[in-house]
Amino acid sequence: MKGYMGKLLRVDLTQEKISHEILDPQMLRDYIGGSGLGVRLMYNEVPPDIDPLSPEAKIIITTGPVTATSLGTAGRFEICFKSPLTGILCDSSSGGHWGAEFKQTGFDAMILEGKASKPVYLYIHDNQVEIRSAEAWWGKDAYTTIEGLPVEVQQPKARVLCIGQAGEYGALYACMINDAGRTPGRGGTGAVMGSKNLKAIVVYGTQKVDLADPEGFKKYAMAVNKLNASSGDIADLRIFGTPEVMDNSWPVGDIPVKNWSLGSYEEICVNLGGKKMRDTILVPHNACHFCAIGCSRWVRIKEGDFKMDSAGPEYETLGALGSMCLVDDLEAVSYAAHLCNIYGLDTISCGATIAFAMECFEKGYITLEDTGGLELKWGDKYALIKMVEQIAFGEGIGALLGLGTRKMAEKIGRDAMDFAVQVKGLELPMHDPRAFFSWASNYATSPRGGCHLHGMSAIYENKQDPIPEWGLTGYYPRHSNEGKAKITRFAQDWSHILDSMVICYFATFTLQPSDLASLINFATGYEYTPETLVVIGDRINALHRAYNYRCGIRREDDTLPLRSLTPVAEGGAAGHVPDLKYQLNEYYELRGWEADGCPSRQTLIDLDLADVAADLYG
Amino acid sequence: MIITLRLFGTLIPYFGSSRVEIVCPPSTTFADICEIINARWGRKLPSQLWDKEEKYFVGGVLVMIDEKDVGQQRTLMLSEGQEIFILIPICGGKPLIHFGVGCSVDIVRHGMRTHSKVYKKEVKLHS
Repeated sequence: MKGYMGKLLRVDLTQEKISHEILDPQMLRDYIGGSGLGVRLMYNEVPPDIDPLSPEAKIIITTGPVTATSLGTAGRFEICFKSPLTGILCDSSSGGHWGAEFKQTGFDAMILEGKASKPVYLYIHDNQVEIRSAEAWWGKDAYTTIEGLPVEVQQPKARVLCIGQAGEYGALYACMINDAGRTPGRGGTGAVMGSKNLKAIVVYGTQKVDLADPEGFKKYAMAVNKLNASSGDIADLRIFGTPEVMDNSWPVGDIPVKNWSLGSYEEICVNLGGKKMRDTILVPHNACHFCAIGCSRWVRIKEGDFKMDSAGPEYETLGALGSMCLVDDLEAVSYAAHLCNIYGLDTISCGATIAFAMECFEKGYITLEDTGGLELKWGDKYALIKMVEQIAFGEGIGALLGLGTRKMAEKIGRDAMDFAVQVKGLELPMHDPRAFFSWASNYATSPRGGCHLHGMSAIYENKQDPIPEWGLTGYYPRHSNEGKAKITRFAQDWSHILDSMVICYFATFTLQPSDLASLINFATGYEYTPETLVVIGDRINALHRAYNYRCGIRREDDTLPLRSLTPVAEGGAAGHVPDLKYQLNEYYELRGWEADGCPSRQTLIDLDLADVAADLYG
Repeated sequence: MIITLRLFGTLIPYFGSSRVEIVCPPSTTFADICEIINARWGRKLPSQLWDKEEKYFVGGVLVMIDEKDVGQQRTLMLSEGQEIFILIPICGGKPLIHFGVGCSVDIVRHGMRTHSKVYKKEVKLHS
């Protein structure tokens, strides 16, 4: 199998049993790898009614056919699991180098199951797998673990994927951390890893990936890398990183402010922006595996309460921990983000939950008695940092906040659910459906809940002929509902392909589907076309939906929180609200879903998912 | 009267600043401002962003006045002190613009369907 190592590693932590399995070539051809492969394995192996934090739950880690090649950003990996935050199937992706290193140990994928009796870590090196005691590492933060374990295994080039204290404690949006501040952040990857008493996975590999056409691949990959290195629009991403979105996006009303209740706030956004960061605390930074873009930030704060020298915040983090909480001190927000990284917390869910708690405090739904005397007020940077610490360790009211906004709102009652801004339990990312209407159907139907990375749909709005190779032509003004379901469908399919190849969105801003097909073909020898890729995207989406349907997800769950459907008074989205019902009707038709939200029998059969059709329809 | 152009993201280098003031007579319309933009910056702006014939922005550039998308309302009458926001609205500024469409790499090997276009830049920003 060209492009693949051809093997799956299975680790039963209960039995301390390790096995190597041959991957089914047809499955790889049908799902490419990465999240596609992970979703298929989840469907095959993990019953939908399982407790996500039980020993029976599984963590599936996958790479793709271009992982560990010379293509920029091909060091990524995917995690598939049932989320304790949402109760549905979640796939979460991370950059850095860990994915490439893992694949070079000789495996494309790994299934972790069971639960270790004591804290352990795995050391995987060139087909060898060891289960080692992690008792000395339990209680250590993520960065200490990432720096320390390569020393312990006496391999300085080893890469570490681990959890911090939040994953050990079990905050529902605790995440794994790898390399410097990279994370499969969403959905609670760290909570599931912690529930298995698994502290870390250390990898070191020297095996090479055998490609179908190494010269062709190299030539093509280098052309893409060169393009990304020289492209004018991507240069901005290199200079300012994703924080530049703060500088540029506030006029259109896309940045949430004060738990999504304000439409725009220039001063806060500029204070948290990429230009301010560049001019104050930014220092030269590293890039992910072979990446010519280098968008990641590194910040140094030399003195004061927020002293740090570490990975800096991304846009989503600045929005969640910053503008959402009305905190516009860049150093304080960077420090709060740093704490999330070392403890292992998803910054989006963490910040969104703190913003939600601040609004609850303002309304009197959370009192000083609940907070232990802490004034949980808007804009209080010290309260923000205190909350991050309490969430990570489950201390005080942090235990409540560690449940995420949906479960918090259920416990608080009254009208709290109206301003708990989440879909299917996953807190919305920092892009507003009132600013770009395609976010509405996208968030409502995204396979893992409120998410912008399973379809970055808004980039196709206000643009002529967004994906001509897939027939997505025409012009779609941002405040129109026409065609937005179509945009959502193709944006989601595009993300399924990227997450199955396992490469980064940013490396593909300049590409079309035929480019992705070419890269996979050079790697594998397959003969994908733009047309076959869209079928694979549809297949992965349908399978993910089928799993979630079996988890109990129905059409009524494909919705937005009330706040997202309530107009704001100011900013570039003022007075605008998407027509979600209109978009959903169109989306369901495009996807071939029944009225209750289940993919139709015919849709499943057409996508070569006859076995799934049999499961759902008998 | 004075009208201010506020530029964002990759547009800033073409205009030299994120804020540009234009002194113009009363009764100036947005179309008049477009004429001024064409005269002063039209030659610098790449065709993926600015249509010199139409004298208007293209390629996903979003123009807003008073927090509203202008669209094609070029006859809009402007008033003293108004700000015109000009931005590329891809989650805040990353254009999906293919500089130099159709040029560059064309690879066909071993009969696989690999023909594709890879686009290369035509303009240099942030020099």
